[in-house]
Amino acid sequence: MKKPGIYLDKYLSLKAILLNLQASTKPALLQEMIDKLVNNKVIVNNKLIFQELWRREELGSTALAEGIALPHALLPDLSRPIIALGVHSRGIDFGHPEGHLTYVFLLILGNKDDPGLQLRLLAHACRLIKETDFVNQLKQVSTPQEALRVVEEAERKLA
Amino acid sequence: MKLLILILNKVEKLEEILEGFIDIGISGATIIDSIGMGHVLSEEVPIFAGLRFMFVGARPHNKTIFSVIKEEKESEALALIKKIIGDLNQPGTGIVFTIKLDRVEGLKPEI
Repeated sequence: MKKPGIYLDKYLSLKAILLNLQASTKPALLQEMIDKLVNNKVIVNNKLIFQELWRREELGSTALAEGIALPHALLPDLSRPIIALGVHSRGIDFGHPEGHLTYVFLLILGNKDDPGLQLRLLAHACRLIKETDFVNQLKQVSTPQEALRVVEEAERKLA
Repeated sequence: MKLLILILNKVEKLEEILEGFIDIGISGATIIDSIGMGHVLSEEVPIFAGLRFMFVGARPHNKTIFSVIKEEKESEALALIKKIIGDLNQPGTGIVFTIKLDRVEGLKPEI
């Protein structure tokens, strides 16, 4: 049994794991993830999601040197956070200041009334990225089930 | 003996606090420049840039005051601090706490 705390896999479902992303630009990538999540009924189609994700990216790219980006936004009327995981096999320029390509996208949608939880999810994601090898492992997965296992295993190592 | 630690956001009140300390018989303290975690996270760790609003109200730079005090001075010191700074529950004021000490050496005699 897991000890109490923040775990990404608590908010990540198989339907929200999107392998084989194809977009070649940053806005197109975000829109591709949103469209696929709508198709998979993870989220409701809402222009606000793209707007808020883009607004955050305009403050500064969420791309990290490890080849992963953490696009995130706070939204009204979201009863609990939604986390989606995207993998792009070729990587794209997501705006990392030193030009590192981004292959993995951990999208975090939080409740506007609970920014504290959003902060904790971001901090936890940063720890997973720095303290486990899960980004490199995610680049190589071939099914959503495999991706979820990678996340779960990384969470176990961190616990 | 107790260690009193005051993380003072309202840095303009430092002089008044130190004067007050002397007034009530606390004649020794160490003051260091310090910076809040919220400021570091929101200004220097880019990933948290979007959550800067959570740290509004807290000032970026503060002073941390350490003073070894007699246990019987604790209440008076805390009352003095609250009188000068105001309601510590308001953002941008400060945090104060005390720790019981087992052993102290090198303390100057009180004035």
